[in-house]
Amino acid sequence: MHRPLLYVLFWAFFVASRAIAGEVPSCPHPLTLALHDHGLLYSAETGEGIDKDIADELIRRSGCKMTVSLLPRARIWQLIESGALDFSLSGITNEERDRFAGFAWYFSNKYYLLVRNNIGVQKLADFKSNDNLQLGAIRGFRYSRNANQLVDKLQAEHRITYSTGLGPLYKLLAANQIQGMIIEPFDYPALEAKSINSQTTIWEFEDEAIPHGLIMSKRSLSLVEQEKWRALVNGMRNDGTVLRIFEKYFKPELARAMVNF
Amino acid sequence: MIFLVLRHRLIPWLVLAISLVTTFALWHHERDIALRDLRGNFDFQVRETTARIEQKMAAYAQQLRGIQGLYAATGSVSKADFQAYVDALQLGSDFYGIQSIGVAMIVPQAEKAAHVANQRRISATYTIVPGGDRPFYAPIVQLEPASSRNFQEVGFDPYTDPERRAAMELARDSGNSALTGKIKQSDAALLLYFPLYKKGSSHETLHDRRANLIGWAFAQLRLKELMASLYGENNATADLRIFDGVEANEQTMLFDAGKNRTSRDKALIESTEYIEISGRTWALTMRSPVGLEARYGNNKSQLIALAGIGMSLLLAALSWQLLAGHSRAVALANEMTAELRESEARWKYALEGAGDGVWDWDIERDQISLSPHMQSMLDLHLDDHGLTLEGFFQRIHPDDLPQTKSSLENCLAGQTLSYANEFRIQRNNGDWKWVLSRGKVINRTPDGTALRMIGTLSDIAARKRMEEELRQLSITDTLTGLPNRRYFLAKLDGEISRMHRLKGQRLAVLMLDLDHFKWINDQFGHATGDAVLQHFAMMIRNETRQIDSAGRVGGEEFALLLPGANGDAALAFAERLRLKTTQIPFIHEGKVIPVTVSIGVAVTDSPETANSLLARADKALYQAKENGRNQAVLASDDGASYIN
Repeated sequence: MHRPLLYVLFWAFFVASRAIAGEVPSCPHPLTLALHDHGLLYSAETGEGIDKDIADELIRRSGCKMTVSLLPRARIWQLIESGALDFSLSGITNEERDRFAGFAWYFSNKYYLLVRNNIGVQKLADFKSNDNLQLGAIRGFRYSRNANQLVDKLQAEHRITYSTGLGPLYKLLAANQIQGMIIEPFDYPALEAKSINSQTTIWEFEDEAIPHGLIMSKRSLSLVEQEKWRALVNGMRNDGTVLRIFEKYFKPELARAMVNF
Repeated sequence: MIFLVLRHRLIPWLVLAISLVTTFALWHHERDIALRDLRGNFDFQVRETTARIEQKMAAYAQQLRGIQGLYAATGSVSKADFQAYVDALQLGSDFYGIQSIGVAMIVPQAEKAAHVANQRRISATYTIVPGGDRPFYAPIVQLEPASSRNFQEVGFDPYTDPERRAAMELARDSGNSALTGKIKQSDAALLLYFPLYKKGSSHETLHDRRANLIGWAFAQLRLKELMASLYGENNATADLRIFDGVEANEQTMLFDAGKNRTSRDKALIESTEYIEISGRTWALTMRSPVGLEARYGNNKSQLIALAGIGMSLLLAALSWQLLAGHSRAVALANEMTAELRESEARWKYALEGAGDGVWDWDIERDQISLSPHMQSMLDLHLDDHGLTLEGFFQRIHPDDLPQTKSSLENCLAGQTLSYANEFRIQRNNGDWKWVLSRGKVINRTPDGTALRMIGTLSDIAARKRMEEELRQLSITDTLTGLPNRRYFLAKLDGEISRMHRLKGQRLAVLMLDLDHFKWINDQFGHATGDAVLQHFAMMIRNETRQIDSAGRVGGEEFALLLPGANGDAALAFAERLRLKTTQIPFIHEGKVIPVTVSIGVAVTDSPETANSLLARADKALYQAKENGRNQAVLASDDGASYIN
């Protein structure tokens, strides 16, 4: 490509993004946002969580009317794809999701495998190869590369027990009906509060941290609108709002590690 | 042989085994695919069923959210208004699982009496059950539609029941719907609670929600009816069980669609999915119905198995048939070959018995094989490779070779049907042998090129010998052993022809006649006459050179040819012969019989006819007789004679 043309395009993009950055999203009709019950992200029991706070802040900053509901994660992805739902939170992407969803990242974290102590395996490969071990997973969830590989392999071997949320998986792990489940840092507090804490060990997948963000339905939001919402989320990150929300739930170092990526 | 038998017996079994193994592999593969399809299909149905139940429950919660809206809008609702509202909801078949909808309101202890009094205006018998003192009460104040199927009554305080209380508190704190476990063990009735807050109050925080709670809207659910209201039945719902919590047992079972299942019926696929519904965990266990395989692809794998077994048997039978046919063909070929060999042997035996040798020429490979008899005829001991044509030609007499070659070529070219030729062939010991060779081309390419020729070789030495004897007889005078008149004349013609070809040649002809031979015959008898003739012939033989020719041309007449001789030489020869005849007496029975001879000599060095030459010699002989016998006369060129 010609270099001058590249400069012109770059400049045009810069100007456009500044213009968009200054604009709030337009919302001629009420928007929809769905939360899912997942540890510190949102707890149906208390009606509170990081995602709830992020949603509140988005509503406040955009000035848009937004209907917030609680749905299973798998249903959320279906609705985002169909355009029946505009937003959800703390989503990660993959090739398939990129086709129907846009993202505005606001934190990143690693995935961990929570395993029972008494199953006689010491490492991930052993867990993979032992046919007697079942893994619990939430329908509609994807993870980091190695975690995805584990889930896909066990799925082919019918060694996955599915649930719509995290709650049943803790109970299944405690009842030894599953021997492992994949967790994220915002599941720690819930774990500490449960009796299962003493019976389990946490293994790390050797993966990079995966960015999580606002999920926007490409079917219902134009690219320009998505860019405005992205700018809104970036504004929340830049002025420390996101960090403050995370510090409500995590120790400051962990909060910073998750937000600064 | 053993190998052959084994092969014939083994191969059909081997073919059968391989085909059956292949069939089994295909059948197994098809079953795997069918099972994978089945599992995929089943998984899809499990997810769909799960989603339907979730959505149904969400729809129920939504009904209660309507009550929340009603209270948020009006603050308090009369029995008639509530009844109208529930009627408007039209809890028909779509919400078949909802038995009734009600409201339990919080009544602080201080307001209990006023509350009861107020309620008794609507229903005279109203009372809070159970009674007793507690900080607050949460009696049911609305319950529509009123029905005998309701297991709770107006006035009952559900907050006093731990099961219901837990759900009510969860609903209060979360601001969302909350579900109880099984309320009645018998028919799995559940209660779904939704919090009602004070009109115009905030319920954003937990504190707000606890502070502003005025009561609960609730729905009585019967799971059996809920499940019946899910449209349609699929393979997954056909054998669905729902348990409260993650433990599956009779106590926790909320629903069982597969009651007619026996423990012996083992399901092909079983899947359990856990869902969170309004704060509770449900385990949905679905099993594929008995005979599911038959509906999915099993028919196909059965078809493959049946078709495969059929094909395997067919293939084995076919290979057996082929092998048996092959061995039959081999046996027949062997039999025919044996017959052919026998016939060939008989034919050779017949030929060789008749004294003929047999040759067989593979023209393409240029190899002539000879029968043992033929080899012995030629005193040859050939190896298996036989002779080449050139090797054979080398043994043929050079004089006979051109004719042999041309005769053979004519036959090969198809100009003659068969080949027959007589020639001399050299035996290994150097002798020449007369043979007759006969043959025929027995195989040709489509374009006519000869490929193979066979024939015989007959020993004709005896015949040749006889022929030679006959020839000798025909040219010889039996009495004297000299050539007869015919042969002598032929010889003369030959010499004259030679003179024609070769210039500067000379030839002398002598005509000899015994003097007074008639007198000898008369005097001593014919036998003595014959002996005289023999005696003279012997003298001629003794006197002539190799190149000279003599003949008895008449009774007592002889003739001589002296090639190359001039007049003088011929006359000198004649004189010498005459002298010897005179000097060597013929003695018969002790008596000397005088024998003299008259000789006429004619010489030529130019082309002259035989008759002319003979006539000249005859004339000279006549002259010698005339002159008194016992002398030689040379005929002059012009017919005159010179007496020696």
